[in-house]
Amino acid sequence: MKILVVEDDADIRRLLRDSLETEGYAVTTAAAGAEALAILGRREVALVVLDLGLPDMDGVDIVRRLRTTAATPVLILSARSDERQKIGALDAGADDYLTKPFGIGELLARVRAALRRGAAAPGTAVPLYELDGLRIDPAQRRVLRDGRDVHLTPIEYALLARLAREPGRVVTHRQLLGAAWGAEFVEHTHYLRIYMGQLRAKLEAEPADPRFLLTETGVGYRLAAE
Amino acid sequence: MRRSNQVPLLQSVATGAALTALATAVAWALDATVSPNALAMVYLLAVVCAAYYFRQRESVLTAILGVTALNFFFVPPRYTLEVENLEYLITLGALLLVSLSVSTLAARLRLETAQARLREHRARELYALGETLAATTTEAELQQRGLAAIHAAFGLPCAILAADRNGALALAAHAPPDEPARDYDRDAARFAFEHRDPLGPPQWPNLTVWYVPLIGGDTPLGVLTVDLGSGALSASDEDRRHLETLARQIALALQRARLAAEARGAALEAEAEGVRNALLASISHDLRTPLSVIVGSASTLSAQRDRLSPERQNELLRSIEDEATQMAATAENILQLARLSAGPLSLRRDWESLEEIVGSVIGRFRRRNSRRRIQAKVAPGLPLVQADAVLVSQVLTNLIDNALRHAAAESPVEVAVDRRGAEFRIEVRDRGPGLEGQDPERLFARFTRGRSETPGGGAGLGLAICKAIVEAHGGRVCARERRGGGAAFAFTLPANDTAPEPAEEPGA
Repeated sequence: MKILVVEDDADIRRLLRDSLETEGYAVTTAAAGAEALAILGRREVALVVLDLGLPDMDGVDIVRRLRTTAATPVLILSARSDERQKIGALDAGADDYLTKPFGIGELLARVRAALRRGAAAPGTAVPLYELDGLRIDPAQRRVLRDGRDVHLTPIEYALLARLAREPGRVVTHRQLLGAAWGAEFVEHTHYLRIYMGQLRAKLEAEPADPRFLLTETGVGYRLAAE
Repeated sequence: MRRSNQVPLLQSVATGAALTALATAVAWALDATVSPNALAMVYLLAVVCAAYYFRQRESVLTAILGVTALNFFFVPPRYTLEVENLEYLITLGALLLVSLSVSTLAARLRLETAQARLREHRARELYALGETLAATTTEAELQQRGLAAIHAAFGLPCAILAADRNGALALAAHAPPDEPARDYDRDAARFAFEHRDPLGPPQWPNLTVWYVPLIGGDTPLGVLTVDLGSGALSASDEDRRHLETLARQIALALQRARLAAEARGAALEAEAEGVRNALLASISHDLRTPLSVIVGSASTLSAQRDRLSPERQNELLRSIEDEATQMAATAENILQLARLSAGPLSLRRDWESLEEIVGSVIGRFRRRNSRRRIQAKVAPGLPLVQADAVLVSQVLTNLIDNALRHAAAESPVEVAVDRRGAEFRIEVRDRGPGLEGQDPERLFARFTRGRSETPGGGAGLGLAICKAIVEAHGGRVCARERRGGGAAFAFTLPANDTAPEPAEEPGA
């Protein structure tokens, strides 16, 4: 499986390449955005690992241009200071992000998860979700906790279903608000805080130390995949 | 300044005539029983009355009219102005003399009484002004209150022209504040300021405004103007002296305020300098400690790798990873500090859930090191807080990091969140050595290192940033000894507003 690593720093590029190759992936690298787009235009790639701080172009633009032609999963690498850029890239369709500095173990876990999602048929269908006693059954619109039905309001269910569409993937505030309330509500992040709090109260054993509904501070939420 | 209430001459004559007529009527009634010599006393009484109740002019008129009336009506030969007896001549002469003396003396007495009253009143004004100014600290307030006192004393519009660093005069305050400021002569003000001498009528009859320089110590601070309007000519020396005394008081108070402000500025600058140095020392310490471990471990590995056991090699590798992670945390703190120093506007406040913030911070710690136990105790149903989630996460991260570093590996760390009145309280509790007698205030003071040097270090910068972030949010930080051993570090966030609720959902 081919992975494209786009990173301008030679040392980190080398490190990423070595680690991924050691895990048995085939790796191509690019040091700049133009080069990356050229590679993406030429050949099939299973996953893009993209550093947002590129010298020649905005990483968000690369994601946007890639999304016009392909659903290839994109894993963002970013310094903590470019939070807005990171959210922009996720809103534009990137799958996940890692904040520098990160451990290789964490990177490999994210790469595996992204490849798994990429391999699954893309679309808006919500797969059946089952983890540690929580079962989300989209076919029947049922949510079960330890075998018992949990009653959710329509908005609570809409939020949960949006997260369950791609377990493990970060869903940004805008994406969730758009899915549950509609495009005109994408700035009302406090709605999300209230409803996610209600969902945690219904689904989590310890809402302040959640197992399923994970918060990505300042970015969005994800449903635990493992 | 105060207008003297002029009484028309005709009215004075009428008063004198009336008093004389009254005395004549009384004398007429007594005429049968006493001699004209005794009747003279009745007229004298009238003069004393006039002197006491009216002014000198009335009493002098009463004296002259009285002597004439006595002569005309009662001194033989009656109904003439002739005097046949020497005795009566003496009586009339004495009456005139005594009457005039009484009226002069009474008038002087009254004038002195009035002046004494005015002086007392002005002394009181001066004292009150002193009191007011002493209780005031800012220049603007001093100017306002000083002008209010001058306006109260003279009833005239007044203003302060303050000099800037270059000595340029500009209107700084005026009274009464609800009226527009009066116009003034710029050249005259400039002249008074530069020559440090009051300027105005009557020496300068074409001026209708008094210009009194405000001189604090040796420094001219500005000019006080008092608009005399049409009453310019009646301003007395006494008034002017009083005005200058008040102006001196105001100037001294202004000078005091300016010196105090300068001293404060200098102290702030010195403190900022001290903070900068402490910050650099703290950053350098927080970076150097992990760096020494990293350099030491890495060089051990490269020099002695084949002679080290695989376990020892792994240990060294792990410590390189741990210390590098610690350095990343320090870099993060420095970044947030830089963001905060850009001012309160750099806060990205939103309606946030403390439950979420606690959950995500604990989750991050757990991913890094799953062996440590961190327990969250968040009160259910807490309202949202208006805060910058990234910064509040940073505070919580630093406090938990601090607790983990100081407590034994097997002891749990608790994170408790609840609402107390108008604030949220977030507390991180450990079972470590406690505060070890350290002043809780000082722990959060800028970049002092709490407790004895501990491996890992970093508490100095971390706690100071907690304090800066929390205070930027309008909250407080504190630390206490925990009952049963250990320390508890807490911070508060204001909970006075409530988030707008989303519309009620059908089926909710």
